[in-house]
Amino acid sequence: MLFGMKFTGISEIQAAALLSGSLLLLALLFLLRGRRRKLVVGTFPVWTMLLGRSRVDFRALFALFFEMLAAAMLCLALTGPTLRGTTDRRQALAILVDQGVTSSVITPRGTRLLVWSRFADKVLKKIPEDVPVLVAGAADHLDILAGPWASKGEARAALAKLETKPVMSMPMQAVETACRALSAWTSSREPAVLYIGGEDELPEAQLENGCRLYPVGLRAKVDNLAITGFMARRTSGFGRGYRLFVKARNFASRTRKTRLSVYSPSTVFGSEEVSIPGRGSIERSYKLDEEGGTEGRLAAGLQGINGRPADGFALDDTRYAVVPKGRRIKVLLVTQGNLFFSKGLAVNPAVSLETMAPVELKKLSTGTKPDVVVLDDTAMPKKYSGNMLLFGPNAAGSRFKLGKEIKNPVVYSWNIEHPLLRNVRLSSLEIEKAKPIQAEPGDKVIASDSNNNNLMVVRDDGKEKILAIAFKLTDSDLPLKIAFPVMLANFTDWCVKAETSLNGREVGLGTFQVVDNGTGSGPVTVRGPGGLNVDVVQRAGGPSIFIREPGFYTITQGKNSYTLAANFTDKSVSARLARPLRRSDGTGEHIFNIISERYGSRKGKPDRPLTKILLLAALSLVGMLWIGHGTGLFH
Amino acid sequence: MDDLSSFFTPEFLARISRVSLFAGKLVGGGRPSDRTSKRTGTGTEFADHREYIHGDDPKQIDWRLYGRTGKFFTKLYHSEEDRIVTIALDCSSSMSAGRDKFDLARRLAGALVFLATKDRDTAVIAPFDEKVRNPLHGLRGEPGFRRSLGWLSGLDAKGHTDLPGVAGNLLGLVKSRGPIILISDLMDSRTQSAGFLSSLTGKHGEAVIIHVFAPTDREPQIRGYVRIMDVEDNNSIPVLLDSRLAKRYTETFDMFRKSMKARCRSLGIRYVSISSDKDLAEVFLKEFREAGITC
Repeated sequence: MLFGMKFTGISEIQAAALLSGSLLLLALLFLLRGRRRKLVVGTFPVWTMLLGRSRVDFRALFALFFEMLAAAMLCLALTGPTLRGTTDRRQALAILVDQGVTSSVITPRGTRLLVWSRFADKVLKKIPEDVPVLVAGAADHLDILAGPWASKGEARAALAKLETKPVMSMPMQAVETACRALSAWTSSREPAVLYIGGEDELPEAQLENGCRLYPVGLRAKVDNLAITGFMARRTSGFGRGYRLFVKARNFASRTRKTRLSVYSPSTVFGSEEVSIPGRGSIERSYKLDEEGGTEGRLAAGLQGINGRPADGFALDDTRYAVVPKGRRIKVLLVTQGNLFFSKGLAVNPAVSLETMAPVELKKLSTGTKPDVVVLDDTAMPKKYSGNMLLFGPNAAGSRFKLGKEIKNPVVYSWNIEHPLLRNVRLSSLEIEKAKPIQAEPGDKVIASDSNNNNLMVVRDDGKEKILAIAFKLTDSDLPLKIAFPVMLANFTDWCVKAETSLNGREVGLGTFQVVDNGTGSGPVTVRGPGGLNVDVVQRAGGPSIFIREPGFYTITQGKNSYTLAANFTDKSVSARLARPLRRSDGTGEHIFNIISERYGSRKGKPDRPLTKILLLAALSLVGMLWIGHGTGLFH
Repeated sequence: MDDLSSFFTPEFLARISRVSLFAGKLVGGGRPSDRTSKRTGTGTEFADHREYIHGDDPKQIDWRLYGRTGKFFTKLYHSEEDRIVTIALDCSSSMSAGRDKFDLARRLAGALVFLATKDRDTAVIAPFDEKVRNPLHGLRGEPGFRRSLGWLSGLDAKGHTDLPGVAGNLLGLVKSRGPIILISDLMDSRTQSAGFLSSLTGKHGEAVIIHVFAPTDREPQIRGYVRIMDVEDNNSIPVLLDSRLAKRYTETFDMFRKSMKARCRSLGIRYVSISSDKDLAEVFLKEFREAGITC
């Protein structure tokens, strides 16, 4: 199919070869004319009277052009071109099949993608043979598999290529792209786009370029269960291990029974039948001993009671996590005998504490640098660089500009999403006085009072992490609150990236993940779920992998290796699967009436064979050339 | 180069001896001859009277006129002097392009010298291409004719044609007012300029143009895709030379001859075009007679 024409004669390749040969021959003949015999005459003035003195043989070039045109027309005529009737052009059709992550849902008739492909095949059977069709998979972008001038056979073959992608679908963007493609490539005046997927949010609508959208929401709801939380907290005292917390949710309206298991490759920490009420959740916790300072791989999963899958959408039924290997965090406390700090820091079992008086700070740069320095209202020398907690105006003033002292500030807002304030409650904190901290570009304010005076500011420039607090510990009742040791533990863990949560090395499906660990020691190799090699691609951020399946990904570069846990974490999708369809009947049968209406009757002009017209035009041109040469028109 | 002497056989000379070069206007070459001059002198043909002045021969006084007028008048007679016939021969490259064209031109020149010397005239042969080169002066009588044949045999056709320039040269070359006979194929882009033709006549009164051409000059025999090249320079034109184009060319060539003839007639120049395949004696006896070149 080319320029709205179909060809019934010799193939396009044969025609192209014939045309190339003809044009080459004509060009050779033209060039050989330049080497024509010489006729030396003494009557040249008479010849110039007859022919003129034209040095450039324009007329010969014109002749060559017309000869080539005639050859091209003859070759085109041999291909048997037929101009398609206007009916086909007007009724070009794009069939988009959702191949986002929800297309993997298993139904009694197979996966959703299979059901949708079969439906698309039924649509193809209903439309006439000569309707131009575009077939594409729609996920986060449009993936055109056939068309826009594909035959029905090509379109069916393209449907077999559809495969689920671990990304969320963006239907509207896909539809708009398809509309533009149909308008640009087919000159259709009324192209139609059929979007086959599991959702029915798309409206049936007239879009740009005269394009008409027909969405088909084709699915049944899924009584979806999911692991929505999986985390660990260290148990008190270093070396004693973790406490695992698991949360399972039932998105369906009726109560579901399922089996909840938490396990590592070598140990089952728990496996029990649970009953989860409709639209409710359950939580369980398990004890996990530390495994000798190495990375541990954990999984929490839901299975059916009878050994079958818990539900049709398996991606959110299992959650994977990596337990980072533990190590001691060296903390240097600079204080004049404030025991609150030493006791508060000791709550984190990983902390190895060393205490120093403020006058001894000079030694700091000469000795081994600690992981974290905690300064109790003591200024830190400018030359020191490292992670530090600057508690009190004197300490904070060594790295930040401070405002005028304020009395009895009340913490009005604090950022509970920030790792430093995880599980920290500051609402009832009493502060006698403070000097507000002026944040610079790049700094994050994590706590402030009602007058927007910054009370806690974080600075993280990649080299050092600083938490500055605008008031002295002893000017507040913070030491008396549980928030104090939790915040200290959060800070020490945050500084050394020792996440107490299991989600520290968790990545989402359908994303690219940079896998260069920065050591620069050789190429990066990645093994994914099942021990299979994963292709490493070069992207702007560095060597990356595409997270296609949930599970563990082990990244190795030289002697270094680490593990990522990949999970499906989009709760909105998990919830949406359990919702009933809002509008359509769920069978898509209504679309066949539309197809019958659009493609049942043949209107417009019929196909027009062009062979005779082209032959006539070519022969006319040859005749004109003959006369032109005979009369000297081209001489 | 062929020796022209072999061409001018006694039979050929006897045939063309029956004609003479046109008489033309009365001009004087300065030497005693049978030809009446415009000058007055010791001839036998009455020219005019003038009043007697002291020193005139008393035998020449017209006594009858004295009887009627009472005054002495002396009778004047035309002086009998020869005339100088200048034969300008085109020796440019184009003359060598057609078959026998240059040979015809040289034979014509030799025959014209023969006729001139036969009538006790003096002939001058002026070969030219871009300009007149080394003219042969003072050809008189049988020796002059023989000398001209040897000299003509040694000529080659080469160089470019510049007829207007040559016309100017001839004006400076010819001191007396004799006729100029131009033998050429006239293949110069400026040939038809009125200046060239009028300068040929100029103060000298009479001119003859003998246009020589080869049969292939008029009817090219070659066919097909050819590059037509000028023999005198590198100009060329690529053409498909088929019968139609050849016919159009012949028509153009004939039109060129006709236009030359018409222009020459308007200027009082005798014009004749001669193909190189013609019998030369017949040319003198027929074409030249019709054109008024011989009588």
